[in-house]
Amino acid sequence: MDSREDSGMPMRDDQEKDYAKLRQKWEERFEEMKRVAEKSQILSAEDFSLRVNHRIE
Amino acid sequence: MIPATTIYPEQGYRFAAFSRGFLEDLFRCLPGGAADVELPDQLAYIGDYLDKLDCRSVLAEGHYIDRDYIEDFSAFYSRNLYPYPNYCQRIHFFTEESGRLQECLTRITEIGALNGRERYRSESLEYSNSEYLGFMVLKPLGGCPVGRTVIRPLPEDDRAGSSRVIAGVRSYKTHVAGVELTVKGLAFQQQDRGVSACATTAIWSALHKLTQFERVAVATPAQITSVAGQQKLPFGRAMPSDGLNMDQMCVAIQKFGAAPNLLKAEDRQTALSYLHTTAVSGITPILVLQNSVKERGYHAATLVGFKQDKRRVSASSSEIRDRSSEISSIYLHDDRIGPYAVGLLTDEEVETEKKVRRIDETKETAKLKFDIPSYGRVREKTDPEDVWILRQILIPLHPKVRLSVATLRKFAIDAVGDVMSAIPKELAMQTLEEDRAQLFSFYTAILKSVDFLEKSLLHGFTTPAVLQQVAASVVFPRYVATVVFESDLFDRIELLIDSTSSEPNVHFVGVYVPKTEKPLTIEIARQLAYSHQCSLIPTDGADESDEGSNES
Repeated sequence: MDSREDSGMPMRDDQEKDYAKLRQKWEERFEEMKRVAEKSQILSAEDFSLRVNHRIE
Repeated sequence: MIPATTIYPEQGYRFAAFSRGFLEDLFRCLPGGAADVELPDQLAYIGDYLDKLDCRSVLAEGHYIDRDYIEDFSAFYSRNLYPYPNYCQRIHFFTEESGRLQECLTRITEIGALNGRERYRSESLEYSNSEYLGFMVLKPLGGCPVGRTVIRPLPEDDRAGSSRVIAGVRSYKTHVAGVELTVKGLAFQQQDRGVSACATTAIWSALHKLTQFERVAVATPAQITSVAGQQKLPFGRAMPSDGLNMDQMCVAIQKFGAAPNLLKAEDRQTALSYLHTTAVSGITPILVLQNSVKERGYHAATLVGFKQDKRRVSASSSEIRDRSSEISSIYLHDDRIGPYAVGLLTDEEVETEKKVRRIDETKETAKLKFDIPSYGRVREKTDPEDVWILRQILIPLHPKVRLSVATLRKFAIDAVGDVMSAIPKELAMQTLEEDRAQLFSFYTAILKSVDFLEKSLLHGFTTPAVLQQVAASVVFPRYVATVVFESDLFDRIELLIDSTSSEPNVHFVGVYVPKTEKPLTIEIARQLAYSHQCSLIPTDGADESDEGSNES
């Protein structure tokens, strides 16, 4: 049996709606996190040319 | 007058009580350390740090040949008109009372003479663990005296939900007064701007840690700067060093046997997750930072650990907690300041915003920023000049780790979705409504497989029997990447990934379930294993039959 369908106490309608909203929020957040992770790997020539030379005064 | 014969140098041990004054006296005797010259910040910082470690006594070696300095000397200082010495002083620090130090060291040598090597080594180690705080090489250069310095970090406290995680350290052995002393720390030194700038010293510290895992060459600053300048010299001559660009830094890391994984710090949470992953894995990435106010180019520092505060989780991520959200500050080897310098995670609403030099306002506010107080500056509130924006993270990995830290993050997020789906929704809502507010947390790590198994046993995640079963049945890669899930609803679950694989041909080693005391554990683990087409570890009969049913 799929654990998603493993029910204890049945959910009320408002709980169903709340849960659906939460799931949607999480899924959107995860999509964004994946997009940013992907973007962080894409490097340009400019990224490699940063000059690292902080001088101590 | 030129002496007719060369006098062979004398060692000249000095036992003394520790004080800031003792360090200052040593500095004043260096060329360029005249009375009117201010004590370098790094030396003063180290003095203060040792005070916090309760340092009471020192043993100074007057003539110490330091491998790093003598390479710098050979490449640069030997060709100066001023005749700099080719040797340094090395100062050892102890919590022992100064009157007893010599006696204690002598006692260890006597025990060795009477009882043999094993006893001598164990006595030395026991004494080191109890009393030895580390050492500092003092170079004969008044302008930048702090050479290779390894001191123990402050203890990992665990008060009020916060604790230090300083995994970027390794063991160093020193031999002095006939005793073998051991200290766990990470080598630090300040830039000299002759042979090295901040980029070189940051790479140097990072490579020191890597030698704990693999036999990579322990590079000296002169070697790093010289190797980085072999192919390109974008800023003219290599020495005196005027910094390196990222391209050169990557080349230098690769030449010394590591694989540079360069990532951009795109947003706060993702950048924090990269810092968390590396820090818990004992990897020491180089952070490329930009000052929020001053136009001074970029700065590099080496990450050695972080402070975590479990109360520090944003409301938007509380139900499914990314463990990296718990980072409240980081610890850096910053050559402007000293070892284990603190960088406080700065909230977006910090009052520096108006002054921050920004090209794109919306982009900049999303960046990860640290308040890294300059040593010795008295300030009542955050000074914009101390705020640094994280731009890039350069991670020296073993070449066999093909999986990028960013790719691991993506796999983790996919797996989070699977775990979320596997929790019955009624239970999820019930848990959240009970104000526990959290379903589960997750984090990622890349560990040597032997260390992974050892940690699993020593931290009590599993039993010896299960570990034996796992070791006997699973073929592990040299380094294993793991996505760890923890919750009150189920026992620890780890999705293990072969780090020698890469996208799109990723190989999942299995779903590791060290304990199955809570009933939901096995359900979630099976779901995760099914989604990733891999087995449960350890495999049991129930698992095999269940996999069969999934496939059908």
